Order: sequence, then C-alpha cells, then structure tokens
Amino acid sequence: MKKIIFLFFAFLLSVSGVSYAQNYELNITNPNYQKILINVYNLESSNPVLAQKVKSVIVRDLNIAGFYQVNDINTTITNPSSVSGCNYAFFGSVNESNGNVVLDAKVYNVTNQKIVINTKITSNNFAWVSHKLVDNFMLYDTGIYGPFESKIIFSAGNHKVKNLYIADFDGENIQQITHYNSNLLLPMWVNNNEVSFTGYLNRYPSVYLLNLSNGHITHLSTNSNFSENATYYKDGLYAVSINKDSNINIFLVNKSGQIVKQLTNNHGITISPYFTPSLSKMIYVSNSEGSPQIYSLDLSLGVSSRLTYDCPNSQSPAVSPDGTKIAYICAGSNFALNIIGINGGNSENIISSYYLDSPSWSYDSRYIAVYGSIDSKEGIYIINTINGNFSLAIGTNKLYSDFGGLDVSKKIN
Amino acid sequence: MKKTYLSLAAIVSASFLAYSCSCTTPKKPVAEAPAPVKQEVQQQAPAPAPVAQPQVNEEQMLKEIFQRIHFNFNRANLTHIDKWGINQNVPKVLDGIADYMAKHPNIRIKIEGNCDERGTEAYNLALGQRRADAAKNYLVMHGIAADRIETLSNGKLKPVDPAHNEYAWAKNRNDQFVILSK
Repeated sequence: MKKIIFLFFAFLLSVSGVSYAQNYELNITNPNYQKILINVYNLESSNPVLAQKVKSVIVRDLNIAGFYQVNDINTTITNPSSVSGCNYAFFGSVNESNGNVVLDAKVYNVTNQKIVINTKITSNNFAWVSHKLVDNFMLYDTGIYGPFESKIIFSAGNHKVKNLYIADFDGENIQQITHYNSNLLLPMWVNNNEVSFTGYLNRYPSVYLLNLSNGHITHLSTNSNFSENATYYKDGLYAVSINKDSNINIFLVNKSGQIVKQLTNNHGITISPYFTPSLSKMIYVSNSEGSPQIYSLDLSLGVSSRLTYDCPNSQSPAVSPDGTKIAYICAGSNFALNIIGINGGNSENIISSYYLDSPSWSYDSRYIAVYGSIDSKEGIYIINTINGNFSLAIGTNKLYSDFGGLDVSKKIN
Repeated sequence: MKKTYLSLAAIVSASFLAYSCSCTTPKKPVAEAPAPVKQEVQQQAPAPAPVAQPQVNEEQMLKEIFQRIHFNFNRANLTHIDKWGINQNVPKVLDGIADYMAKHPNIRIKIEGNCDERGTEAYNLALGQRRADAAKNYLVMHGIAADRIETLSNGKLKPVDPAHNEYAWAKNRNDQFVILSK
C-alpha cells in the first residue's frame, strides 16, 4: 500500500514538473507576450555626428529585431546603476582611430544590476559596429547570434527599368551596383563576391553572373529564349530554369552555360530551385499537377514529393539556413507568407498582405526579408518569424517605386 | 483594408463594365464595314480615284487580325474567354492570324506573353513564356513555319491596365503580337 501511495505521489510530482517546465518554456520562446524594454543612451564621443549615427543604427537594429521596445534616450550616462524602468541599458563611447570606427559599448542588465556586455568593436564602417553590438546582445539575450551582419541584394526601379542594389540587412548603406537601362530581376547570392540575376540584357530573359569586385558580367547562355533563377549548387554548377520544347524545367549548367544534367522533367512550369544546406534535396515550384505547388526532389534517389496542399498558388520557396523550414508565398488576390517543415506539414501563416514576393531567410533562421506591400506601404520588410513582428527596412523613394526580387547573404565576417 | 480594396474594386468594376461593353467586343474591321452599294446604274461615270485611306485601313485591319489574345487566371491554354469584360474566342483569333500569315509568307512576328500581377515575379516570367509558346505552337500546328515566330515573356512587367481589380487583371493576361517584318 505504501508503495502505491509513493508511486502515486511520484506520478503527481512528475506531471506537475512537466507542466511547470512547459509554461516556463512558453514564456521565453514567445517574447511577443511582452517586449523587453531597452534604453539606448547617447554615446560619448569627440565626434557627435558619428556618435549619433552609430546610436541610431543600434536603435534601428533593436527595433527591427522585433523582440524589444526601445527608448532612444537623449543623454549620456556613466553610472548605469541609477537606471530603472527598463530591462537593459546600452551606453558607452565611440571614436575614430586610423580610419576605423571604434565602439566601446556596454550593456547593463537592470534587473540583475550587472554589466552583461562590455566590448570594444572596430570596423571601417560605422553601421557595422552597431550591427555587431546588437548581434552580440541578441546572443546574450536570446541564445542565438543576431542577423545583422549580412547584406540584402535587391532589384528595384520602376516598371520599365530595374537595377541591382545592395544594403545592410537592416536597410542601411544602400548602394546601387548596376546601371542598365533594362530590367534586372531575381538576384541571388552565389558567394560574398558573386551574384546571379535574371535580366533582359540580350532580348530574352536570361541568367547572368555578376562579379561584385570588378563588375564583370557573365552570361550563363543556355541557347534558350527563356531562363531564370540561377541558384548555385556546387563544383561550379548552377541550377537554372530553362525553356526547352515549350516546357520549363530545372537543369544543372556550368559557368559556360552548358547543360550538365536535367534535374526535372515535367510538363508545364518547373522553376525556383533552392537547395537544402546539406545539398541532399532540391526544393522547387511546379504546376505539373495543375496549379503551382512546392515540391522536394531527393537528389540521390531522384524521387520528388509534393510538400504544399493548403494554398492553390504556392510559389517562391526559400529553405532556412538551418535546413528545417521552407518559407513560401501563397499568391492570389491576397498574398501570404507561410512556413512549412522541410518535409512538408506544420504549415504556419506568418503574415498576409496585398502583395508579397521573394522571401529570403537571415543566417540565424529566425527572420525573413520579403518585398511587397504591407499596410499599403511598398518596400522590403524584415519579418520576425517567431512573433510575427515586421519592420520596413527599405521603402520606396525617387529612385525606385518597384521591386523585382531580393536575397539575403550568409553572415559576412 | 480588405474592405477598402473590395469597395474600390466594386467602383472600378462598375466603370469597367461600361468600358468593356464598348471595348472588348471585337470591332468589325474597317475594310469590311461599307455595305455593298448598287452602283450598276451609274457605270458610265468614271470610278472615283482612290483616297489615301488604304494605308489606314491596312493598319486597322492588321491591328484587328493581330489583336491580343487573353487567358484565364494562372492558365496558358487557348480557349474561349468570357469573363471580367473579355469575350474572345481565342482559337478563332489565332486562326485569323494563321490565315493571314499563310497568305503573307514574308511576315514575321514576335509573340509577347503577359501576366497579371497576382503571382510572384519568377512564376509570372515563366507563365508569360508558356502563354507565348502556346500561341506559337498553335500557329505552327496550323502550318506557319516556326522560324517566322519569336516568343518573349514580359511576365507582369507590361500591364495594359495598371488598376488592381479583376477587369484590369483579365486585360493584363494576354499575348501581344508584334509584327517584326512584312
């Protein structure tokens, strides 16, 4: 009898322990329940303009991260122990040394009354020191390094002419990198020094490679009147969607544009190849069953399986860098950004809007950059997939009112 | 937000209904327009010198023959379209083009496939190509040499109507025929 009573209590204890653990987990993994309050103070500096610029990027990045509510405090502090009414305080100094920006930053945990980050960051770019500080703070606060040390390549212009631009992940440091009187669309990073794009540079839409250091453009000529989406595979090979005999399929081509292997053989449209990080699978779009859906091709077995069923027009898949999720666009009269597991299932709607296109994951697999129109504002948005927070990183301006694709780079050191 | 779009769409739809009644029904070619006149009794009189009309008429006639053909949403098949202000027997239009090209062996054309905005950039580029190829394949099957026809996809880059409603989208899903040489 004693044994039974003991076992009964042991069972009760274990059940209550599990439920307590679940509640605790829920609170820390869903920060949208309550945003963490951060005060960002003025940075001490002999160059107040630089100090203001660095601080504004810190504020911007923390806001875009979506986990934080940021107070931009217009004063400096030296003794953080007097700070109250927030969870963290950012302060410190910034100066220039030998053409570099040196940020001496501290983050004070108000609750624990401890300096939790005390770091000196040097870079030749003022925005980059801010990005590194915020990324380090996010590592401390969330356990995962932040996403801001990456670049977005994007196509923008008007409906007649679109060129390629590069910006920091938060939309800072925008630089125009091509100047064609044509439409250059669907850019994708090959590596930190090379991008592919689809352009109308030679009568037909065709895929090209652009070397970012010397501006040299290589035509991945495929002897077809249509090719798009050059996605790097490995060993100098690219997966490209090519029109052959009036069906568009995905082929592996080398840098000379020679077809090395045909990866799909469908009737209709088969496009948007995207490889998993292990290169074991290729995710793509095909309308071979009527409407466009997302499929996965096992590259060793050569077997395809359909992954999406919930949306009649599933397009633009992007595999997360950790290889666990696929973001895609559900197109139609309204657009939605959805996420599914790498093998399908676990479908989740992240955001719905009038128009969304070209989702691309940040290297930490938590954020998606996407362009479109949200709340009637066109631009490139950064979406926190954990709590759905979204921020406009790059809006329209006199130079561009239209976008034509984007891609987020890996972490740049 | 959605409501705003719906009411906007309703207002625009109403105006387009009026527009479509007058515009989307194929107009009769000018060359066929005049009814036959009984002129036998006046045969003694010399025939009037031709006015400089034929060029205009030919242009108008070509415009009519090589009119844009339309598609259903997300489709590239050639069928009778009767929706959202478009009423067009697409195969019949293509038959007219094939006939004309057969009679004029020097004419070369480019077919440009266009899409509405309700798709991603990448998908619409591909869909535009499929639409252009569909028309080309039809003409080839009806005896026109393939090397007389080029195809090009504009995706959704060249909308006829920039509005954001069903009537505009229906107009924007088309193949445009461009005469390259006569």
